[in-house]
Amino acid sequence: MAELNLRDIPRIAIDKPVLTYGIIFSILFSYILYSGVGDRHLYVFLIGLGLGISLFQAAFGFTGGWRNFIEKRDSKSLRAQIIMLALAVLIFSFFINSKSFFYDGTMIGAIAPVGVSVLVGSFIFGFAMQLGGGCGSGTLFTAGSGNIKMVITLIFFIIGSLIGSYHFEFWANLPSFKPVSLLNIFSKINTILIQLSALGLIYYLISKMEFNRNNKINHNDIISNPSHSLIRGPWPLLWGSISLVFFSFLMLQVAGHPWSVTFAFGLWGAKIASFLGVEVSSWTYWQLEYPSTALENSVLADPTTVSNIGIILGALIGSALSGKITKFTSVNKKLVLAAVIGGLFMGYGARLAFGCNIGALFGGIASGSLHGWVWFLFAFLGSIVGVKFRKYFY
Amino acid sequence: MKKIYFIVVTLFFAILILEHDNMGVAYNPLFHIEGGDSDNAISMPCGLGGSHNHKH
Repeated sequence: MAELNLRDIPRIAIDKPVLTYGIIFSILFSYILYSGVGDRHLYVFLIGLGLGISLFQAAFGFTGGWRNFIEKRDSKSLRAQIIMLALAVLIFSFFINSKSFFYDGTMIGAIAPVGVSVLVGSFIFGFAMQLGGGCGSGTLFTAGSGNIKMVITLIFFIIGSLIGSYHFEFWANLPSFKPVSLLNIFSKINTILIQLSALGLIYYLISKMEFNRNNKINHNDIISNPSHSLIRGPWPLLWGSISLVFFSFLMLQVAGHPWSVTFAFGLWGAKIASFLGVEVSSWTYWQLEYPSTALENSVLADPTTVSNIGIILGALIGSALSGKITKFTSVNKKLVLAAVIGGLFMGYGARLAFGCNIGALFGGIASGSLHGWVWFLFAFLGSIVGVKFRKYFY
Repeated sequence: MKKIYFIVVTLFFAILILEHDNMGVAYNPLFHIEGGDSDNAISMPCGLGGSHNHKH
């Protein structure tokens, strides 16, 4: 079965019941966060809503974009992603390690070591996202917009993350280099120049490869969209690139670190396992400083959880506004199997690789961390293999 | 299918809210204060450490 393309669904009237549902829960969570946790958590939630609406309206996913390039040398979505990364590099480099506008503290980057766990984890993630039908952010926004299959992917993403955290000690002890932050080695300007040169080279190469295969390339295809509307969508991909960088920048300012997604999945899994009597707190991963604190706390105190809820509700509201909430058709056994395998391995891979396409690729590259680039390369190689396996399920 | 979807999503939101009511917020990771004590330096949800002492 072909994957559902949100841009191909005819526009219908605004789905008022779904819109009302989304707004009511958004108000409820806003109230709980503001009164029970703190104002910055409320802002993180509102930023999450903006991210969810942007992801849905621009149909901004890494999985389909990479697959279109691998299979058809259609680089449209990949070019939009490169532009998003370039904008993020340009902006984030000036603000990482500096004082936030929102609170009295220093904003930090997503810096992680490059080691066997990142290589293996990112490859597994890239492979699995082609089976699961979405990456970290993609799974969230498609599940939020009514796609039952992606809800299954999300459930097994959570289970995979939990298993990954159980095996964490083994992977953490494999060979690894120390974290490399370009911002600590070079000046801000040189870091920007180096990273923009690399992104420019990738943009040039993928454009050339598209032209060589298809004898044409239209660089305006990420700007133009004949029927776009700010409220009802669909947005041109470039709008998605710009708005995602905008909301990510706000996330950096408010939360103090780049946008991340998958830590919350492991936390949700650990909370459920603890409830069922599993001694998760004795696992090495859940004894680390931040994870152990998160496990003992309310799940709504975890900013990643809060932004993820915002993304789910934002996508739900976006889909209701556009009248394009996903058709609720049943899914066949093969698709369920693909969702199970894809979700499990994405969760496991993300735990090994210090995050997904958002936390590791986007956050890592925007922060000038070498692990972001390594993640990008190995996840793409994994996707090449994943696209071949995908044919058995779809 | 639509009913099942909204039952699952509503159940998920309800569990989050109930868990919040049960656990409470003993520590707010976004209340990090520059130069504060070490307990306040845990603000990076990469899952592997804190902010200033960002251990991996």
